[in-house]
Amino acid sequence: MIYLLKIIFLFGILTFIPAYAVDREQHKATFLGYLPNYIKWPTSIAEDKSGFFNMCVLGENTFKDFLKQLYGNKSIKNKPVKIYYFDDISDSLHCHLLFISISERKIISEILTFIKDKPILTISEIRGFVDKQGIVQFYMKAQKVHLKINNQAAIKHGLKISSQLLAITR
Amino acid sequence: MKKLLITIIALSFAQSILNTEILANEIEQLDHTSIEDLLNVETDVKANLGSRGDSVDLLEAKVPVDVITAEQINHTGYTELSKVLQRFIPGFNFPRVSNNDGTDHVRPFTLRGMSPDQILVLVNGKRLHSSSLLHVNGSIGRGSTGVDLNTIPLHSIERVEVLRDAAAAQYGSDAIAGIINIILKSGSEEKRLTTTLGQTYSGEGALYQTDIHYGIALPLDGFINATAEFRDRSRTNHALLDDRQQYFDDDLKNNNLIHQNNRQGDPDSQDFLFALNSEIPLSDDILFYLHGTVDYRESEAGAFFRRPADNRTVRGIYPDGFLPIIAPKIMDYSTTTGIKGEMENGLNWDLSHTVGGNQLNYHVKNSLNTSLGINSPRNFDAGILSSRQHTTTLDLFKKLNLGLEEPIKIAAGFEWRYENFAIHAGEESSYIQGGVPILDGPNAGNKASSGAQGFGGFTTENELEEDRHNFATYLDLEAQLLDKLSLNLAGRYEYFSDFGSSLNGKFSLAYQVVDTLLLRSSVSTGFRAPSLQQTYFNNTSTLKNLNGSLSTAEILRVNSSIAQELGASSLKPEESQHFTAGFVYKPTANLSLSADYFYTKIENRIIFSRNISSSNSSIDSDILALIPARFFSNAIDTQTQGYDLRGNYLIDFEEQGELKLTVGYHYSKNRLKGSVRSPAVLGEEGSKIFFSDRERLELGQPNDNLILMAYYKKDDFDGVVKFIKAGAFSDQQERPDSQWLVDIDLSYQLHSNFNVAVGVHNLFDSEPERNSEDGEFPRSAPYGYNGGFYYCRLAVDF
Repeated sequence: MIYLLKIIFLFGILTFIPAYAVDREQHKATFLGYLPNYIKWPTSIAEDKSGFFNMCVLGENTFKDFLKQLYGNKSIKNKPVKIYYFDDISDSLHCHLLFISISERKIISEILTFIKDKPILTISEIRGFVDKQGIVQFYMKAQKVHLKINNQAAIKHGLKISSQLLAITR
Repeated sequence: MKKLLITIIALSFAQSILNTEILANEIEQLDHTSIEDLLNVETDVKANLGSRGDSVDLLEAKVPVDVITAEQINHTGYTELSKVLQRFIPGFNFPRVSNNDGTDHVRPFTLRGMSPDQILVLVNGKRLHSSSLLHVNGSIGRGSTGVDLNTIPLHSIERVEVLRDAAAAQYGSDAIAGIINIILKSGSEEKRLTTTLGQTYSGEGALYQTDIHYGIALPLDGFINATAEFRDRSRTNHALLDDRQQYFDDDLKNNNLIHQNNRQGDPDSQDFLFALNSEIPLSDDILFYLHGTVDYRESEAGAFFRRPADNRTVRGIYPDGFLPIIAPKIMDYSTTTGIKGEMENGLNWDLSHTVGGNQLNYHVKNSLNTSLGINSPRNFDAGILSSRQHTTTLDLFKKLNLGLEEPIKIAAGFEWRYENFAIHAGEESSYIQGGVPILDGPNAGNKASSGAQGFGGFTTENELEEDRHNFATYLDLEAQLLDKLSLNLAGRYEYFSDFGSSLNGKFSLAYQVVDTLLLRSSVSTGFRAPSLQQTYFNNTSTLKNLNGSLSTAEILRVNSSIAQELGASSLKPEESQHFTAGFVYKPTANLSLSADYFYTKIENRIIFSRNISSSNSSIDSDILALIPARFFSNAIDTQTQGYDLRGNYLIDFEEQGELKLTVGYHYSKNRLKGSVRSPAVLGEEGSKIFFSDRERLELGQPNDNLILMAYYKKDDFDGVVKFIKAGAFSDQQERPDSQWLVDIDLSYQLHSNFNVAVGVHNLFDSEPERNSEDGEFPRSAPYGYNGGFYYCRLAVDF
């Protein structure tokens, strides 16, 4: 009986103490929802109150169900979020945010050329992404997600990145 | 145990029901987090070991892996990697050796109570060479060579991965007790100067260490970073006062005060270390990389004191006796250059070449060659041990989609390795018989000892240069057979030019019972090739007998005519069989528990005999009448079994900081299996001669080891407290009790660019029990006998 009580006690502790250690992909998924807060889209898009905030993943989905769980019932930029997964860049022109999976690293230059000048926030963890005119690049350092930002690329896409975000990631 | 398993499985099922709720809570928490906070969130630790191709989450690894991060390393206050690992990995033993010739300067480490040469060490996944030194005296690891981990500057390290499983079937020779993979820092962001100062409570062992790490960014996320370090440690000395009669019988100076004539403790040593890591993208698909380390070490430790009345003392030079100082100069280097990329069909390839070497140049100071009489030099160049290794590897990796739950991971590769070992003679005066007899005292006129006292130089007869090469090929498959069941199959074939071939395999299964519970198990075979040092090393050395007297002994090559006469045969590889089974239980995101049982059987284990002489064997050899001899043989089989437990618990107090609790426990038992296979020519005493190390091998290292660690962080403050229990061990037929130590490290970020830290190792100045026989500290004490040590550390980012 005492043994059983010990188990219940342990179980209780384990259940009710808040949990904060984060899965790496889940954590990256969290950034996808945060970054738009620091981005200004062109007026025509920002003032369009109809429609959705289209969050897209191109290539292999490494986020599992995290995006749905995080943003399925949320709004970004005052628009309900709609999540798309696809393999062809030609499907991406309606995206506000495009996460380009590492599986697309071999054709990254073609992808970025295809959406050149479009008001799409491009995010990836492909090596050299911002050097190739991507806007936001994830990279890992000491188990933490770090960001590299190419502000010039953002400007070319018609996006304005807040000085706060630029300062944090400088 | 059964109750515990049932409980864990029951909890896992119940917990999985609650997981959705927990995830929702996590999301809610993240919702209220700023982007600055998000950038500071630590994600799960991943490791490259344990899976080909991709890095894996530790809690999903199919084999047990520990990871020590740069931040954890930084919070230990240690300046040597071996000491850091001893503080994090239960079962990692790094005893403080003393009075053991070269071993004082290149101290061995072990895992799971096995031998130093039964661990494979990698840097960025590439094999690191072992030291040229063969441990031939009375230390843990006697008869083995090992890697010197302390040649790598600590602040060049991003993380250290320790695979607690045999993997010779994947990585080749030596991976019997496990693998240590040292990942160097990548990137260019860090530019840091670090200085550490410290000393023991008794004012000895002063430490001064400073290093600089600097990175330069290159296009397309390429980088070059370098770490340069200088480390200076003063000696410690815990030798007892020498109360033996020092002078001849009628000398009045025998009534003088007794002195601390010997040294027992850490040597004086200075290290200049350098590490470089770089990656240079050549195109979108091809990456060139280069990494390497260099260490130059000068070190000084005492041999045994020669009393004034000793026959080996020339009283005209040292009227009050002398303490020879063994002062090697050690150069160690390793460089890997490689190129890797991905082909259109998704095939990843990696071609690399690693060159590593170690050179130990023996110098002896404050000594003499008795047989040269009054004209003897006092300092000697006693010769050089040298080893080199060239390794070329081609690794291929591809994911194949065969309609299973996940693509199959296929890895294959080839490896060619060249090894070289050489002994170069010292200067003539370091080894010759000069012909001058003992000049005075009761033995005047008798033949005097040859060679430099403390460490007789290598002779021209000892000189050699031997090499071998080997070729290996491997195949490694990893598949998610079912939704929750994954499989790993690996096989590796090796051919060595000196002893032939070895074929090994590994089979492992992992079953995700529920999201919170993973069961894992593996069976494998492995091997360890005899080192060139074990096959070819030969020398004369001075040993201290149990009664305190000194004697010399000859180390024979197994292929020498005398060794053959004594029954020696060519060395074969050690062959091993392994089984491991365990589980990882992660009931919540902030708690993880793991337990793993392991069993290792090693056949044909290479053992270094004790002295064979005409008095302890049936051999009647002219040479044995003059000097005892020792050599290597595949004389025994052993088994090692035990278990490892790990627990991690994270509590976030929100505004009040974050607390991480870690517990690690290791238990292992090493035992002789079957009988000792000694040469028949040695007669009945043969088994004792070839397994005189039984005490050291079975009981010489702690059976168990517990490490409890608490890490607290709040704003600019970090604090770490460690409680360490080293289990009991045997040393010279005594068994000192287990020992508790407490380490503390407190650091504060004074400014965005300045961090200051203070800390203590062994807060309560704990010491191992002294031997009852001679009152000295046990030489194989896992944590040494220096007592408490305090330090301060300053780090500047620029």
